[in-house]
Amino acid sequence: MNNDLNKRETVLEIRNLVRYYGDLLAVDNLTLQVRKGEVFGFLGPNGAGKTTSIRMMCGLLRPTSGEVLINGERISNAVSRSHRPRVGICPQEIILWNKLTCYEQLVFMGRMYDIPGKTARDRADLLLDQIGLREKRNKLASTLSGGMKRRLNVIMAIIHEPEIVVFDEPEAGLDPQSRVMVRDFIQQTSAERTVIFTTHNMDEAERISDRVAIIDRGKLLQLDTPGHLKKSIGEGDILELEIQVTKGKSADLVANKLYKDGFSLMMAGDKWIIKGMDLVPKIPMIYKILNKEGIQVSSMNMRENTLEDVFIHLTGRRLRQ
Amino acid sequence: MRWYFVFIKSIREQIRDYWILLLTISLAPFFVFMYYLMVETETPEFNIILVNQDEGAFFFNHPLNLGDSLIYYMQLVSMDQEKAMLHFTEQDKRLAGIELLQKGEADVMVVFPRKLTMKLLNPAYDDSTRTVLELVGDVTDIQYIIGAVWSEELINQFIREASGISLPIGWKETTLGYSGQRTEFELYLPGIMILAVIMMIFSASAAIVREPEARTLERLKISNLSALEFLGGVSLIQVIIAIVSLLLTIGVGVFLGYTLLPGTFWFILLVAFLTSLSMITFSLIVAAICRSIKDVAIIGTFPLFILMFFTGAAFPISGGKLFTLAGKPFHINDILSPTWAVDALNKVLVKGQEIRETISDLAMILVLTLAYFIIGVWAFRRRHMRAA
Repeated sequence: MNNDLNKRETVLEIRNLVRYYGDLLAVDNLTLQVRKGEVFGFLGPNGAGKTTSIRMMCGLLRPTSGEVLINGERISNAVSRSHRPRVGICPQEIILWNKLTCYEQLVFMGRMYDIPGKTARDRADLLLDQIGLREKRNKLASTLSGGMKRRLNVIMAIIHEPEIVVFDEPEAGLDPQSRVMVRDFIQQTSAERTVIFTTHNMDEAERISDRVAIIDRGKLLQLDTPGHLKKSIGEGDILELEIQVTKGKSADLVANKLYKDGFSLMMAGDKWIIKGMDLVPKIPMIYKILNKEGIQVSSMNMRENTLEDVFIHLTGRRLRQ
Repeated sequence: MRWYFVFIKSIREQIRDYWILLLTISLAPFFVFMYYLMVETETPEFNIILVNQDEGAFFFNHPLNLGDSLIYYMQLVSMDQEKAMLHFTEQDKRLAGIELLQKGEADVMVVFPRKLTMKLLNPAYDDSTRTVLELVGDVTDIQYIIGAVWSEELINQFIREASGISLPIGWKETTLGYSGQRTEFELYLPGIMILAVIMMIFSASAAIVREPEARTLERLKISNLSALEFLGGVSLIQVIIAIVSLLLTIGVGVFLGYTLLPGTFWFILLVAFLTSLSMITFSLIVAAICRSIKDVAIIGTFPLFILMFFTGAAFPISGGKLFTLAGKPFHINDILSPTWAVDALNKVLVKGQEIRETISDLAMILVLTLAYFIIGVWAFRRRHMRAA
């Protein structure tokens, strides 16, 4: 996949993008390229600058400096009309016309992008079908449940068949059934167009992204495929410990001892992550070290590397902290 | 055609929000109806208290009190059809009269002096002083002013007749246009219709601000829709609502006794239509300042009160002169289009002028509408349609 992606042309390019809100630096010199047809994930905690970045990409927000190029054309400072149909956005908040039916708002949005009437009507029906809202076609948006509104919010972004679709936290606030539906829909959408999405859900990012940009405090920390990102912090197993009690400098002593025995320790609050090769037979030994230093463990979990481990490795914090 | 789809969408939204639609349409007719109930539609009344302190005198060995005669004269005259609005009541004590004035049960009190008869019989009596009749009342009250003028006039008339003095001049009143034939309600109706149109500012601003408030405007901002198309589509439905409301308003006015002069219906409709266009464009400026319907309710009251009270819609007013152009003085409130609308309606419906004499007023409404529109679109685009 990666080799194939590298060969593809760039559809969206961000160069040295900076955005301040007063004194607060929300996006700090962000530079990246999104290639045609890829699913590009922005992973980061709340307030990392993901939404600000994508709003600048769509022309809804002006950067303090830097530029955004779509197919090589600069759009940052003025939302040129020629770029508008190329991008579709599904905002994090549900933005719908409450007094229009599901069908009416899809057709209306299509008409706003100059889609011919019949095409807009056919496409609206098709999209409602795909996202499981066919039965709600003639219901006012205000009468839909939260999950249904969010699903409608998602298809509103692609009624005009844009080249690039931006989903801002598409799975936020969704029930499991709707989450699966939206995830399938995004994957289906990505078969025909470039998809950019933001999330703080590592599982979501890992499952559907071709490449993931890890962003924190407005800065791009790492950008690669999920597989490469995980490999970047080393192969092996992960032992996740929930720590109940620690005494004085015992954490440092444990870290030193584990390091000498070929393990590495990452601490994020009361969650410690021990990483190493072939960890299972070594658990009793690790437990003994911890016990000796008076560290009590409330739970223990063994698993493979995740993107969250990458984030902790890069920032020393958990994604949801 | 994008403006057309916005227009269709707005129609759907308005119909589905039928309570708001009904309130918007019925506001102006209801306002006229309320005004009708509030003002006196019959001839106004003036309650005048007469306090007679005249001690009287003996005339050819007979007691005579000209104060009593004056009261009788005034009451008699008030029975005359033209002066039926004057109601004279006699009171014994001045203090009791003041109490009635304070309670609002009377408008004017006239106190006759002790030496009234003596002085009228013999003007040379007690040469050192003139005998003085006292007028008492709230000088800020228009009822007092009119009542006092009438009382003074009748007393002078009585004295002239009693003393046999004949004035070398007389007075004749000629009413301008239809002003003498209209009831108070009819005289105020043209201004009230414009006032009702002014009230549209709230509903029109709210209709425009609804999109940025619900953030649906963000979807439109990144579509092909331009600010002009959006505002055109949203405004058109407001114009239609305004026309329906105006027809109902005129209907209610006629139903309540307003005499529609031949050939003036279309003129009233034209003026009110132009004013409603103007108010919609003015609403763009209000909507550009506001971010929510709550903002409209708070910030919108500021221009609303200015338009209500300084255009002559609620009551006649003229602003300070700014400059004179081609012999025509321009006042501060001339920058408000309803000022010209009220002027145009009053010219034809009250002063009896020809419709063609209002062309300059109508032209000014159009010029100001265009100015509001340019400012409104510019401000709205800057505030709501540009990237933040």
